[in-house]
Formats: sequence, structure tokens, C-alpha cells
Amino acid sequence: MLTHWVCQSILTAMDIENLGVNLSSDDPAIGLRASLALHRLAERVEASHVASARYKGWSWQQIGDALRVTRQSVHTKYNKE
Amino acid sequence: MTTESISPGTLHAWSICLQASEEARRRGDRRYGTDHLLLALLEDPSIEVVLGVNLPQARRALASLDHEALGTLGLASGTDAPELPMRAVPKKPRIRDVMKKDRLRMAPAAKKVLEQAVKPNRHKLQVTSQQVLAQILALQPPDPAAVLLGALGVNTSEVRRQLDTVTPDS
Repeated sequence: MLTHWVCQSILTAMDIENLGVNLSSDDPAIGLRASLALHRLAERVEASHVASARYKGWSWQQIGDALRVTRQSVHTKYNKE
Repeated sequence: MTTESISPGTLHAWSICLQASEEARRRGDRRYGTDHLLLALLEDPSIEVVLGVNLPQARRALASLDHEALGTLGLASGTDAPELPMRAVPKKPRIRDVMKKDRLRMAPAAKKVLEQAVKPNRHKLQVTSQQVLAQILALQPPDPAAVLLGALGVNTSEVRRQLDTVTPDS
């Protein structure tokens, strides 16, 4: 339900078969940075869609359900701005 | 509690921590590390001069390192999401500012950098940007700050030499 153009572009841009090959790249410096960069990207995608969901009138409860966390956690994390 | 009365260049260690944690928040990190401490130091114009780089350049360098790494996973180079908003950092931070429920935690390497930086000081919550920078310059890749300095083309040994001539006692 939260799929948006950003998520969609990530999904379509990622060639799953190649991902397996690339993960075997033997430079841990790049591999570990890539892993953290994915975390960062996921966090930003989440924040962007929480904002969009609120704009579209979703309740904190609905957003929490979609993210599989309590409404309090989403509210604490995102209600500052 | 405030440091302004002691020396004009002295900062409260909490200010650096809060600024670094906002840099981390902006990027979507859950912890702040040595690279974020370096970004926080670049708020100080004298550090910009010493390093020869400014904050936007350093932020761009971090973003391009990320894009490069994501590229190795097969993600298209245009894959991105908007950065998160930073919160204002108070000039004189208080305990309630650093102990917020949703605060970001410090990475162990960043903690070590700050601990080493304040070591020679009598007041352990007071530190200068130069002291923190000196510790960051001593780091080696794959530490994130060392990687960032490398990407920015900063000659760390030259900058350390400059810092030593300015503050021979540190």
C-alpha cells in the first residue's frame, strides 16, 4: 500500500540476479558501506511515505499497522516536524 | 555550565554531539559516527579553512560515496529519496536536549574520538573543534571519517602539521 514511485524505481532498478553476483564482491569496505547506504535509503523512503500518508489523511494507527510497529512509535519518531 | 566565559574557541561537547546527530538524522542514519562528527566540525569556519572544504562539499562527498556503493549492488545511480529535516541545535544545550527519547546513539568510534579529544582538558564537557579534528585526522580507513577525508582529497598529515603549529600543547 505504501508502494510509491521511489520504492517502485528501487524495485525495478534492482536486478535481483545480478545482486547475488554483486554481493560476492570481495571488497568489504564497499560492501559494508552499501549495506549501511541501503539502511539510510530505506529510512528516507519510510520518512517520505509517512509524510505522504499523513498528507493523505492516514491515521498514526494505520501507518503503524503498515510498518508493523505501534502507533506510538511512529508518532514519536515522525510527529516532530 | 556554559563554556563561552572560559575561552572563545571552546565548545560544549554536547553541541558537537547534537550537531553530529542531526547530520546523521538528515541522512537517515540511526547512529552518528566519526563522519558525522566531521560534518558537525565543518559548522566552524576555522575548520573549513584548515581542511580547505566546506560543509556542502562534504555532504555531497558522502552522498556520492553512498551512490557508488549502491551502484555495486546494481541500484541505478538516480535511486534516492529526499533527505530528512534536521532539527535546530540549541546554542547552549541542556541535559533535556541530549536525553530526548528519540535521540540517536553515538557509534563507538565517535565516542572514542570525543573521549580522546577531551582527555587533556580539566573540564571534560569542554572541547575545541581543533582538538576533535586532531583525533579525527588520526583515524585510518575504513573508518568513515577517514574515508570521507580521502574522498575530499584532504592531506591529513599536512593538516595535522598545521594544527600542531597552531596549538603546540594539544
